[in-house]
Amino acid sequence: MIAQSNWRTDMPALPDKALDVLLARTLRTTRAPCPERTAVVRAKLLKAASCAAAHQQSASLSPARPASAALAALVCAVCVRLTALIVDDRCFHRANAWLLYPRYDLRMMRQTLTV
Amino acid sequence: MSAELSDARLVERLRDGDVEALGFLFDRYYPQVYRTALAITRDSAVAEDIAQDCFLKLHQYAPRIDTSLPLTPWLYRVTVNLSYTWISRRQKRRISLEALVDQLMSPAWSAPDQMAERGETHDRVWRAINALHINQRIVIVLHYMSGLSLEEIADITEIPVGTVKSRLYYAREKLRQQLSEHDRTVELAHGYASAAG
Repeated sequence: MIAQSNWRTDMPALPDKALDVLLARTLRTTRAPCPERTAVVRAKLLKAASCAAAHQQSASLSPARPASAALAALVCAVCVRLTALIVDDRCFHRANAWLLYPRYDLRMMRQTLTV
Repeated sequence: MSAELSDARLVERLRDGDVEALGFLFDRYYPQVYRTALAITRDSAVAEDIAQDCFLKLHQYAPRIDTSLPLTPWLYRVTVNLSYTWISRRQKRRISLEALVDQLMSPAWSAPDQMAERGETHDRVWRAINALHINQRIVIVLHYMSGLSLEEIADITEIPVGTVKSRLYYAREKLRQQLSEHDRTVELAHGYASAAG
């Protein structure tokens, strides 16, 4: 009995080149960020960075603040993240997870910082 | 003005407390950082958070960044690490984001029939990529989306080039196996390869 020829079984299903092109084309469809959200992220990033800079300065000047540089840096890292979360409405609920630093009044901070 | 300044100069200005320099670096690299995070996590909100965290780290660690080296690998490294952390946590919580894939796919095709066909194929490819182990997925994204060499990926992920090569090989074999099961995907891939010459 003569075996039926099947073109699909005669050739490799996905040769290297075809697979490479398929993967590259698919991955390059990954969306760019939308301009509106980009502007929001940029604004809150800069606010957070400014806040950190101010915080760092006050931490180094005020005797009531942590004296060691390491602790001051830690405080600033928390502050920066907290600020970034608070100023974005979408993320506000997540700020609850960052109540590591109870001296901040989140609502007041949000009013001050909201973009 | 920002276009004239090198990355190194902007990082130096950032060290000196110039927050505006962070804005210029953001404008230059945010799309790249965001797309990398999105390709790995497949979640636009998470990609946004990761990209933001990446630039916050740039601000935080500016004094320690070696300005004699290019900045891009540093940004990729932070993005990949943050994405890796997020994926690991998500896997622990066993939350599936499979449903989001359809929302995220919006290729701009010309004909409706081709759009449906190619859209389906791309969904299939994305699902196959998402099914890869995170280490393999990162290598695939950096290689095929960002167009990075094996050496560059090794530098970013801080693993030997041989390991990158091995991860890429096994990832491709797994993808080939999964995608070969679908005739239309194979035909389309052959079409792409022919068009690419």
